[in-house]
Amino acid sequence: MTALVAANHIVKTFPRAGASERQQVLFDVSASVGAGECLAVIGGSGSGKSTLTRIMLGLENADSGDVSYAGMPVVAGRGGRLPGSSDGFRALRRESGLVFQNPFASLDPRWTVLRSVAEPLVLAGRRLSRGDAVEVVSRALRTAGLEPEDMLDRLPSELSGGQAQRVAIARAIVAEPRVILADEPMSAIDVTARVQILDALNAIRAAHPDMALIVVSHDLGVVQHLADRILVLHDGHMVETGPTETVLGGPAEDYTRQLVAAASL
Amino acid sequence: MANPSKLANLPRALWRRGSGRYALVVLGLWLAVAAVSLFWTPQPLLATDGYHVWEAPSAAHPLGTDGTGADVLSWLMAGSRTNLVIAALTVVCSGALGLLLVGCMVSRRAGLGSVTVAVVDALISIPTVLIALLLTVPFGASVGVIVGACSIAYGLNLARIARPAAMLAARGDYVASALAGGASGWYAFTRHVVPNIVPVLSVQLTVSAGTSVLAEAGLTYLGVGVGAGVPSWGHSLATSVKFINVFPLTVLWPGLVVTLAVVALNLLGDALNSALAVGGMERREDDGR
Repeated sequence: MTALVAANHIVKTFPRAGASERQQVLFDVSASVGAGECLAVIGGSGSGKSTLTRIMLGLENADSGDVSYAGMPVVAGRGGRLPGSSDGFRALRRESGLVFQNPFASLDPRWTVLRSVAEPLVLAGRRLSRGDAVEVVSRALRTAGLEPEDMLDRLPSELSGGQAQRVAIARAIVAEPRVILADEPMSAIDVTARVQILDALNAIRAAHPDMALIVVSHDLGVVQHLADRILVLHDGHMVETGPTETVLGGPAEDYTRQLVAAASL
Repeated sequence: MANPSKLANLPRALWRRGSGRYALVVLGLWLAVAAVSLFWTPQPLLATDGYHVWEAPSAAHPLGTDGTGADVLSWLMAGSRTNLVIAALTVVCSGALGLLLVGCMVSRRAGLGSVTVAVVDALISIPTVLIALLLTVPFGASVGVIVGACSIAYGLNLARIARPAAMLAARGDYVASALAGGASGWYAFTRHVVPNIVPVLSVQLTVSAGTSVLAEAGLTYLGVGVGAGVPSWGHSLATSVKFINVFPLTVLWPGLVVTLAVVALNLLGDALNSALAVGGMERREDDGR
C-alpha cells in the first residue's frame, strides 16, 4: 500500500527542566499509514506515541528525519506557522483532522455544537449559508452516531463525555479530511461510552473508505477492534510493527508480549 | 454563526439579579441626568450669589449652594457628564491596552510573552497618581490626563488579572485544533481566547470604571484632575471638603453620588460576571448554583 503519511528515521529531543542536556524521546523511529488504513500506535506512558504522531501530522518538528504527505515533504514554517511552510505541510493541515484525549478540553466551552463542528469548514474557507452548514454538520454528527436535532444548539457543558467525544469526532471529519489523528480518544471516557466511540470510529471508516486513521492508544482492546496495523513503541524505540492479528496474536518481542498479557486479550 | 440573541438576552439576565437591577437603575439614572444636563439644569452653572453661600437645601436650591453661591444640584448634574466621559473612556482605553498586553502575553512568539509579563510587572508598581503627575507636566491638568493615567494603570492591572484565564484558553485543545486547521493567531485570539475571558474582563473593566470615578475625585482634589471651572463630582468635593466641619451637607451630596455610582459599577461587574459565565443567561443569581 502506498503511504499517505510517512515519517522516516525520526529523532526528537525535549529540553529537560533544570538540566543542560536534552531528553531524547524518539530514537530513529519510522512509521507510515496508507489511504483507508488504520494505524494504531501503542506503548506505555512516556513511550513517545503522541510525540511521534504529532510529528507525523506536522504539529511538531522532528530534530532529524523527514515526514511526507502524499509524496510531498512536510516542512513547517517558523514556529509551526503556515507562512514559509512547504506545500506538503499546507496540504496536510488542510486535509487532516484531530481528536484529542479530553473531549471537553477540545471544544470551546462557549460555542454551540453547531459552531464548533462547523469551524473546520470556516477555516477551510468554505462559505456556507446557515442552512447549508446545519446540513453538513448534521451529516457529520449522524456519522458519529449522534442525533443532530438534539445536539446543534447545545453547549459542551450540556453533553456527556461520550457525546462530547463524538462531537469532537464529528468536528474532525466534517471537512472530509484524508487523514485523522485520534490521540487516546477513549482514555478520558467511561467504559460504556467507549463502545459508542469505537462504533463511531468504525462507522466513519466505513463511510470514508479512503480516509487514513492514526490512533494513539494504550488500550489494546480498542486497538484490536479498530486497527489494521500496529506500531509498538517503548521508551522512544520502535519495538515491532505489523498487521494487528500478527502483533497481538503472536508478538515477536517480549515488551509486546507483556502489553498483550497485561491487557488479557 | 455567532448567536446574537445571547447578547440581546444580557439586559434581562442582568435584571434578574438583585445586584444587576440596582446597577441598571443607578446607571440608567446617571445616563438620564447626564443627558438632561446637556439641555437643562435648575440654575445656570455660572450663576453665583455672594449673599447666599453655603446655604442649606431650599426650594430654589434643592441641595443647597456652595462657597460661591452656585447651585450644588446643577453642578452635580453637569458633573455627571464629565464623570461619565471619564469612566467610558477609561473602560475603552484600559480595555484596549489590557487586551493588547494579554495578546502579547499569550503569544506563541518566542520571548514576547515573558518580556511582556516582565514589563507589566515592572510598570504595575507605578501608582496612578504618579502617572497623572507625570502626564500633567507636558499636558496640564485635564480630563485627558485622568483618562490617560487611569487607562495606563488599569490596563496593566487588567492584563495581569486576565492573563491566567487567557493562558488557559490559549493553551486549550480547541485553540490547538483551530491553529492546526489553518487558523491565524489573530483568529484564535479574537474568536476563542477573548470570548473566554469576557467574564474576567467585564468585572475588571467595571471596577476600573468605578475606580476612575474615585480617581477623578482624588486627582482633582490634588490639583491634577479636571481644570478649574469644569464641572465634575471630584470638583464639587474638592471645593467643599475644606469646610466639612462647618457645612457637612455640601460634602455629603457629591460623596453620596460618587459612592452610589462606584457601588453600582462594582455590582454591575459582579452581575456581568455571573450572567456571562457559561449558562449564566439561563441561571439566576439566587438559584444557589
